[in-house]
Amino acid sequence: MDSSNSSTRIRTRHKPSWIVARNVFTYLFLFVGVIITIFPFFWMISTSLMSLGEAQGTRIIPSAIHLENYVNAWKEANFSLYMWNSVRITILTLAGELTFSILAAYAFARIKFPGRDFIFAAMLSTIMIPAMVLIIPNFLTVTWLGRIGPIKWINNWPALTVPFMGSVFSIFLLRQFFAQIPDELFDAAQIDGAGHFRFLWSVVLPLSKAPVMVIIILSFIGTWNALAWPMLVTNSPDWRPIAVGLSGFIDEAGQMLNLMMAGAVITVIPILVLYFFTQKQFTDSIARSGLKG
Amino acid sequence: MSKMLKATFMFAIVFSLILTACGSQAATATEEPAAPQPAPTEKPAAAPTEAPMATEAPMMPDVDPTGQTVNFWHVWGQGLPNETMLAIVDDFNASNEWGITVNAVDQGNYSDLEDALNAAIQSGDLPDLVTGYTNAMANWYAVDSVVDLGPYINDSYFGLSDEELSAFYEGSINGGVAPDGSVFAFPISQSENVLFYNSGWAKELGFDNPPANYTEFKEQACAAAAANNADDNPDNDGTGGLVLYAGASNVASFVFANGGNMQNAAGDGYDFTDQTVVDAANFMKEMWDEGCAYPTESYPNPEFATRKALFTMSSTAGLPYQVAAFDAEDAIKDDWTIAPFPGKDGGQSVDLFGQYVAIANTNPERMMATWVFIKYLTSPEVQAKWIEGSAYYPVRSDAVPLLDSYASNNPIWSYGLTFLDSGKAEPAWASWTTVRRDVGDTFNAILQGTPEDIPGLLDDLNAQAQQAIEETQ
Repeated sequence: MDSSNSSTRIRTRHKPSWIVARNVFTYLFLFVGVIITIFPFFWMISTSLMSLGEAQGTRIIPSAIHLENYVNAWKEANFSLYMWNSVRITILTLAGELTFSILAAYAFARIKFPGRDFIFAAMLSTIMIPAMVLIIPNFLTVTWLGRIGPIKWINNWPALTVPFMGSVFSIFLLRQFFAQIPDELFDAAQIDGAGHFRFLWSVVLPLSKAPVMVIIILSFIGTWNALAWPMLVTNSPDWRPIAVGLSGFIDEAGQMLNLMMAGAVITVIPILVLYFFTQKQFTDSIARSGLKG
Repeated sequence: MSKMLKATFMFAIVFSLILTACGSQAATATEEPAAPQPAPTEKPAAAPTEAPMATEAPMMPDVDPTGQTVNFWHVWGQGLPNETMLAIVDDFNASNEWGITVNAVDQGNYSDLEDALNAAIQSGDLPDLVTGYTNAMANWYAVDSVVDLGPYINDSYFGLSDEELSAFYEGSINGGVAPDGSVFAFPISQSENVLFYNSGWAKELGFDNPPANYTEFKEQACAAAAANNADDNPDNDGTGGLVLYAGASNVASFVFANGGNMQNAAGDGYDFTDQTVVDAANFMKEMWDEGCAYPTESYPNPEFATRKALFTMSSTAGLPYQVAAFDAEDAIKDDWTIAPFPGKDGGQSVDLFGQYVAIANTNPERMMATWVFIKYLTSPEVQAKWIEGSAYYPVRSDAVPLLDSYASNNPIWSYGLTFLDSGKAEPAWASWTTVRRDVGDTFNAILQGTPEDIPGLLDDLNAQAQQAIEETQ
């Protein structure tokens, strides 16, 4: 026992100073990163508990806790309706995006057809087009579809969900994963009598939980936070999402910062809950795909 | 997890069935007839001078608004203004003899509403009544999406009498009048761009009244800046005078106080080389260069409440935010008030911000029903109710006596009433959307440049404004 302790002490004592310095620097760097990451959340929560007067100023910590801001924000911003709308929009968008992305990615990864690589490259190049540039063409398209089709698009779920069901990024991400699955597995599945759909369902998808989770999280965040597009294609509260409620705290002469931050806390909770439950798959997928933020 | 994935995928497989189901329900629930857009010539025209004044038989309206539904897009979605507007709408729906139903829909802030209406113009799904800034409305009027209100104002049955019209504040009405005399926007309330003035601190500095001219303005602002530089608190060095944001509305306020209006003599274009503009530019530059004015990154309410600014410039719609800033724990509980912008040699004025509405180009019956609601909204009693809920100012003077109680409870607001007669509105031209941005850029460049740059920058601004006019014609 004594000798073991003594050897530990010796090893510790002889640790080169440059390693110690490197570790100190690394942890210091990480600590700064943590502070930078956490501070906006801390500020959001702290401001959500302040009076309006304090929220307008430079205080970091509220002098008194105003929990009623959460109740007021919920009532003022019509969050009951907008939260339900966001849930509906997100579920529809997610379901559509997963359906179309998985099928398209599988086709690009495992089915050989003429022009496959060209089509994939052409589709990939559309990632370069800024999203804001597409707003007007998309709006004109959904307006036109509403005029010619049996379903009203503006002020309704199709305009809010359908344009986002085809995600090039999701197809790309899934295709990269699907392409890594060994051909031998498909051969074995074929011998057992499985076709493409059976192979996709029973083999590919169970192996691709991580990228699917990434898509779920990213799509969820994007849809949940959407503001510009929903404002454009809705003109009544019936289908407006939660971000619209948040924007209502800004008027021509100022902003109700304390209520807005209380609303922001309420808004961000579902995203945090989803992330906590899928964190492992998310980070695993990022690590395996080589994606960087 | 595999169960979850399977469940997710199963859900995705039946997705198309869900879409179909949702589709038929939603379509049934939200189907509305597309708004017809008749030519503007369908306006009900009735010259008031030709209207028969005899009363043997009851006069009948040319266009019958009975039973129409009016979709009203507004920007007052939260708080007391929202409650008040909805109450007014409910009262109207319950009491109007024509069975008109107004459906008020919040569209976010002004910018959101403009986007929504621009989108509605594309989709053809126009509302009936829309709130907005007059320059945006001028654009909509230019593309026939909103209509001239002249025929409605002068309508022999539903119009306003000469007596009623004379009760409206001239500056407020003029804000919605195009150069050709057509009325494309009508005010339902107004606010003012004013100076917020820390009168308590000013008294300590030896000033008993708000400044009446540039000399006094500079003297007070520089004294406050010097006081903050001289005290023991290093955190407030460089503050104390005027928080200067060189936006178009503040520039306009200074110019109005000098007696100008940024327009040429013919009234059909801008003139930023007019002496009233040059004087305003020189004054702002002097204040800036001598450390008597400084910028803040956000609304300067906290600075004003903590003696970091003797003056700020803000809309009276911001009064509740300023009151809240003085309620904060670290605020200095000074007396404060509002004041009009002083001119170089003693003039004074404020920039009137109107809350305007416009009637969308739908069909004669709906448009007439919409006007009936506007007339109700601007009647003295309803004005008083709206003002008490919104803290704006009325658009007609005969509503003021009905606000005595509100005025006595809100002395700062009450003081602002006295500025309304001297107020002017910014140009109600479609080009103003672009030009007001150019004005802000130019005056920021003036602050950052040298005094010698001012004439050249204002010349450039004139050229940019002319180009904007040509682009919007």
